[in-house]
Amino acid sequence: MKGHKSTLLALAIIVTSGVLRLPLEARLEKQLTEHHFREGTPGLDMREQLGQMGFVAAFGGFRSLVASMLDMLAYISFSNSEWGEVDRNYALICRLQPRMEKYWELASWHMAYNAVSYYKNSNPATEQIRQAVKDSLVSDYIERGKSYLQQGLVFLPENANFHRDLAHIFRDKDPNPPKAAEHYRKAFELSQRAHLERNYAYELVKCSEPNRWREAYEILKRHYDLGDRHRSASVIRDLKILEKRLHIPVILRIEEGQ
Amino acid sequence: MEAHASTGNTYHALSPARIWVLATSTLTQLVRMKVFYFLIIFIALLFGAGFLFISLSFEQELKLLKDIAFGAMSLFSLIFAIVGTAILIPKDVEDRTLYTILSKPVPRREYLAGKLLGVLLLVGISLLAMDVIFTAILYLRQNIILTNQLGILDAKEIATPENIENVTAIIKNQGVRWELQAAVFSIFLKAAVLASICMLLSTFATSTMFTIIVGFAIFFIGHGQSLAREYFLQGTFSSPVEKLITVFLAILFPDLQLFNLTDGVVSGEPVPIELLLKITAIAALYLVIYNVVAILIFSEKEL
Repeated sequence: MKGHKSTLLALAIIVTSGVLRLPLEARLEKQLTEHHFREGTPGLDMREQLGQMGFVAAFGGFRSLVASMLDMLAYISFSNSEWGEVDRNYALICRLQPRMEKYWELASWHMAYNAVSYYKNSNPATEQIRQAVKDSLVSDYIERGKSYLQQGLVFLPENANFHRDLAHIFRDKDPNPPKAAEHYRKAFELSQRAHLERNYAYELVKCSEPNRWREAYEILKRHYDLGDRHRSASVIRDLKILEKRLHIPVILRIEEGQ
Repeated sequence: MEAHASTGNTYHALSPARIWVLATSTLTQLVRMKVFYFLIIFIALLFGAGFLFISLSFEQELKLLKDIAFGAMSLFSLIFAIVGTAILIPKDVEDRTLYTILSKPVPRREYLAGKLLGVLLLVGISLLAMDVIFTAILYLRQNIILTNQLGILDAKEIATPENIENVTAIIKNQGVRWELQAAVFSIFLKAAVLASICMLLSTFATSTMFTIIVGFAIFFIGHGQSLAREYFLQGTFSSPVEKLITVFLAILFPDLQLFNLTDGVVSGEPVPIELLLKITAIAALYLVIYNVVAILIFSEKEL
């Protein structure tokens, strides 16, 4: 009888303490989320993508380790030029650790640069593919590269490197000077790195509006006036273009022969 | 609270000294099972992770090293906590040591507390040893990478103060930081909670295997619990049975995800002291609850 009493008392303690600790745990959980120690609830579809073991491991406290292992698999797929697999792996990796900047950057780089080069450049492995299909794939992978960085910005809105990389894509892969300029500007505002401001100005020079040229001129002239170390070939080249376009008086122009 | 024995010596109803003696003898008992050989596997894993995957970027390399180290620490501490605790009482019964101890003026609560403390000492010492090895290898790798990267900047003639500062900051953020120790501490707290649950289980379990299997099941339930709660709050579960099961799980089992700081730390998140203290307090609460229940059950157990 005494034994039963103890068992009942033990159960009562577990249940009562369980009910009492729930609000405490919910509060702590909220704080952990605020401090970015929770990466959000995964959809049930992730179980299918990760497989049973991967899912159990990822949510048994080994989420970061699973992401690293998938990263290695993605590296192997990249070495074999299996771009669909690279994409699939990084989509999962980025969902597992969305606050890991490097994963978004790598995913975008693989898509917008490596996969695009694979289909764009002459390559024996893609000789059999029709040019129209290759062009379509190139366009898709550029979009995918942009999409990774845009998704990354949802989780890390203050990340200057994502804006820088988006600007690079709009400069080199999908030319769009106003958009490239916009992202360089944001990257500069977030990081205060001088070369990003210069890149912003270079893209403004490519735009068609005179007010953008004026802004570019002011930026590049300011950099030029900082001294010889800041007078790179690109700064001098664009300043000379802008002096002509904006009809800058000869006396105010930079020295000839530079 | 104290009583006087017939010898005239003071008898304490709860003696930290007796608990300590039991804890150290438990630790000796576990160490004699040659458990520390796992460190060889740990070192091999870390050297493999730190020096074999050099084709990855340095950030990936350092992250992989940390992930493998934390993964191994979690796994080893989990095994020590569950298996170490599960074998203790049955082994003492089998060796008849339990009867020898309890025939002396040692209350059962002290016996349980001593045994649990012994397992926690083992987990703590193992984690400390792994932490020292991990920190040393990470520091070494971090410095090698930093020297290489600065060399690359020099070779490319782009070693501007801005670039040097940038590369150094990235490497240091992925290298040795105090937050790594906080993550190791959180692994210890999780193992401590699991050990206390297994101690509770072993007070009424009929076999070691039962305690081990149920211990591992609780480990997975404990991690899935927050997931189930989230689905519950999001309305993913529609049937009343599913909802009831979720509430039942939340009340009965510990939420082990609360002790998971490693993923965030590896991503470079800072750990506020306040948060660490709260996690410690929750772990202490679990330890008290499970120990009180274990003492209640063990006190009435017919041996």
